[in-house]
Amino acid sequence: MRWKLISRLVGKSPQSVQLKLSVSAGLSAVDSTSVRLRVDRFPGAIGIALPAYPFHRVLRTANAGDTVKVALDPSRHAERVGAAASVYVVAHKAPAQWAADPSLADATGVPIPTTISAGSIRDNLITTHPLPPGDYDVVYDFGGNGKLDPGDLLDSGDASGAPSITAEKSMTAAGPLALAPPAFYGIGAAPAKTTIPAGFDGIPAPYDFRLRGQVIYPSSLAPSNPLVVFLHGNHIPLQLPDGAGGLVTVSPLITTDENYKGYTYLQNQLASRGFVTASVDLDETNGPGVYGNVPYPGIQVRAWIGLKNIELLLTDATIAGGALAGKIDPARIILVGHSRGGEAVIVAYDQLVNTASRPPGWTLNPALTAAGIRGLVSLSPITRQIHDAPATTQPDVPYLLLFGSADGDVNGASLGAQPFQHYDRARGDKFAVRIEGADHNHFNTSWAYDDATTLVSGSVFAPTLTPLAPPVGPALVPEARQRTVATAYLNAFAAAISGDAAARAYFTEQPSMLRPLGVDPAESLHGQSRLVQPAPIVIDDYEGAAANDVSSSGQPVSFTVTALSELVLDHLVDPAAAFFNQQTRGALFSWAGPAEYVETLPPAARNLADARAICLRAAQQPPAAAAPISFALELQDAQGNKSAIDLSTLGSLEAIYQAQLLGTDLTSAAFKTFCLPPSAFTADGKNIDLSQAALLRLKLAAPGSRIAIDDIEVRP
Amino acid sequence: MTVLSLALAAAAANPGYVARWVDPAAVVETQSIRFSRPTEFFRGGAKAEAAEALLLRIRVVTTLFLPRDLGPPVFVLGDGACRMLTTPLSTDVVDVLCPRPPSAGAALWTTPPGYMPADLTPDHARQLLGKAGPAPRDAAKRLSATARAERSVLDEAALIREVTSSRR
Repeated sequence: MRWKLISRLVGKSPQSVQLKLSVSAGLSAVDSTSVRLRVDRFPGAIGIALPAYPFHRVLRTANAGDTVKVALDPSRHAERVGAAASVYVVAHKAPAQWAADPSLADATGVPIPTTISAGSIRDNLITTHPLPPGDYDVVYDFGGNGKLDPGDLLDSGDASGAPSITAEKSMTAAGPLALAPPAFYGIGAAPAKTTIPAGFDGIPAPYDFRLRGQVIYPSSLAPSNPLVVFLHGNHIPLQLPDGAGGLVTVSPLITTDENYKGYTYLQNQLASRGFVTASVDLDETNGPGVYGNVPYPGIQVRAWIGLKNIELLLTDATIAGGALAGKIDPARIILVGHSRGGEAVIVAYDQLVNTASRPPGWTLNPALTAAGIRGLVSLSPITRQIHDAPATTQPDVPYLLLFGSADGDVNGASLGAQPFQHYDRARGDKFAVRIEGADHNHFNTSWAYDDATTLVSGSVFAPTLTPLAPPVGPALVPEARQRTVATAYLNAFAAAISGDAAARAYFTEQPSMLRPLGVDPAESLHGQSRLVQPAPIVIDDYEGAAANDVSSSGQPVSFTVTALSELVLDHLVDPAAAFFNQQTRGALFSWAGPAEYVETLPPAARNLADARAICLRAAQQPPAAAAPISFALELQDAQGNKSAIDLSTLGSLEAIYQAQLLGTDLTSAAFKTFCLPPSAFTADGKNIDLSQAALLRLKLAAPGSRIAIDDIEVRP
Repeated sequence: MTVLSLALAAAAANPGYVARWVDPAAVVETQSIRFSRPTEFFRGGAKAEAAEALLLRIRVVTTLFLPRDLGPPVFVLGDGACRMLTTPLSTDVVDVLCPRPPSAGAALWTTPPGYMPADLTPDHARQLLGKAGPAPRDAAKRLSATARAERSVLDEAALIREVTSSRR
């Protein structure tokens, strides 16, 4: 008589399967039973250690030279407890390559032996050897035979077999390509010009603006190359008209070189990585009594001149001695602007989308289109145009904002100087990095004085520089370090939107966890991010005017926090939003002791089994708590099971950066985006069913504070 | 001769990032201008044409009026926004053109940096000035006493040409 065990799948849900097991002897059934097995997506094995639960965070980007943490959760892999394995970090292979060649060769030296122990994932953290730059897979070789075979565990980045981890090269060292000598266009006696008609953007009479700039590019060009264009801000030009047809140079205490040459350090970096770069001269837009003496040019003029320069670069075969002719790809353009230029890049995008935003009757070369703009970057941008013309296109391409909290010009807090409003308006993937203690001028090397510490008076030819007492803020960042941060994040952004998926993690993770190689770990940086591909599932973004107990997704909200209000987070719109300078609605609340704020998840957000992250952004409201604060996020499933993670494991809401200028308090609240993979809530065997999530709870403990939250959502 | 009374109040030494009354001593010259072709100004945040204006030369002492990214403070005479015709590049003075106020006793003040004439609706101006406090009456001064005889000019463009060339 032969006994047979038969298993049959009789049911499944997103996070479980039900099997019927039956035993038969011959044709007779002897016994049967049903078992339900919980199944989870493998959360990944590589990342970083966290100081508290969940103890390990999957992170698939590292910097070259870093060690990272590999871990298996023994509660998920109970069958492995007690088993010995060798952990390999091997050069990445696609699935077909693994099938053809399953051999394991550790790329970091030798594999690391381990034995899976019972208990917590924190007891199973393995530190790798330093990673050379490259893409890697991680393998637990349980057979110990140096081959990937049945019984082993391969950690891949996704279901298609993406790398387990990428170690990025430095984002501050020069790239691999040699550069051609810088080339200048439009510097002769008869530069190409574009005429702005009277009445456009405040121009009282027609004016011919010259088209000129500096081009830096690799000495060896590909047949088609991406283009990065820089638009500078408003600063005293290197030379001014002397009234007799000549020019006179201003003091080097004010301006050390042409304004448009002040981003050469960024141009060099990008060119060494394969970009053609151009920085456009915009001195003729400087305002009354200065170069060109155009009375009141605004941002639209600056943007249009920028576009006409791009058109010239695409069509003038004589630029750079003809080296660029036909070699610039108009479908791969990144616009980078500083200050007024930082808003002009957004207006330029608007002018590409809307012909009505252009000077009347003016057209552009048809090769130059909005679809060709791959990304926009603003360094400390003003917000004058979006204040005057709120209908200005909200760009739907990737956007990066960099801003220094010690800005003595575009201060972040007054009318026309609220840079994070550009971040809020952007409709594509968007990222922001706030650099605590950075100023305005030092993004441009030609702008000599530090606006966070210096007042200028007297003639610009022999100025008097006096200390600004007190300076705009504390802990000021030296100019070289400020430019290092700008270099790193601009390179990372350009890489991320040019196909380097791993570089995106520099923006989606808080800089306290991951920052580009070359950025000083001591730099205080705050990150924000929001991804629209794939579209997020909004739990509550506070847009619309729902009651406090109803979310923007129409679900109940309960709370024991106090003084809760949902409002526009702009102190110029609503005084209750003091110190906020956003263009978004959010929730503001206080607490003095233990309290909570609970969002009911909308139906679309209740199956988190395959979601990448739950995210929200939060900020302290100044001038309260001078110390960092944090809170916990707790997930609850439909059966009432709960799991909580303290956000302090990812970083806190930093102490308020107090800023002031000439006796006026210009402190502004600083949002940070926090994201947690839902699988983190199940670490160490926490019994919560991610396929039936029900509630997301913010748990707040004493000491109390007052914070704003916004953009609570799931990234699918 | 146009007789005009302007109340000017004592002020702090710099314009700062809040609205402030202008120190009367900072106004070093005043001219009364009549345009043959009326020019456009903003009054109370709305566009309005005016044929009569005041050209004021004002001493400024800070960085805020040099070319920077946040626009300089706007001088406001009563409810009329003045236009800055020159930038303090070689000297520490600026020339501003203000619509002549409809009544005597109008005070001169500055907005914080970054403002534009269209922002200065009556409500907003009141809100700004609320932070500046009341204009001290004991600082009032009759600008007309320092004004030269009224001059006629074709239009604003002609005036700008004249002013900028005189500053070189």
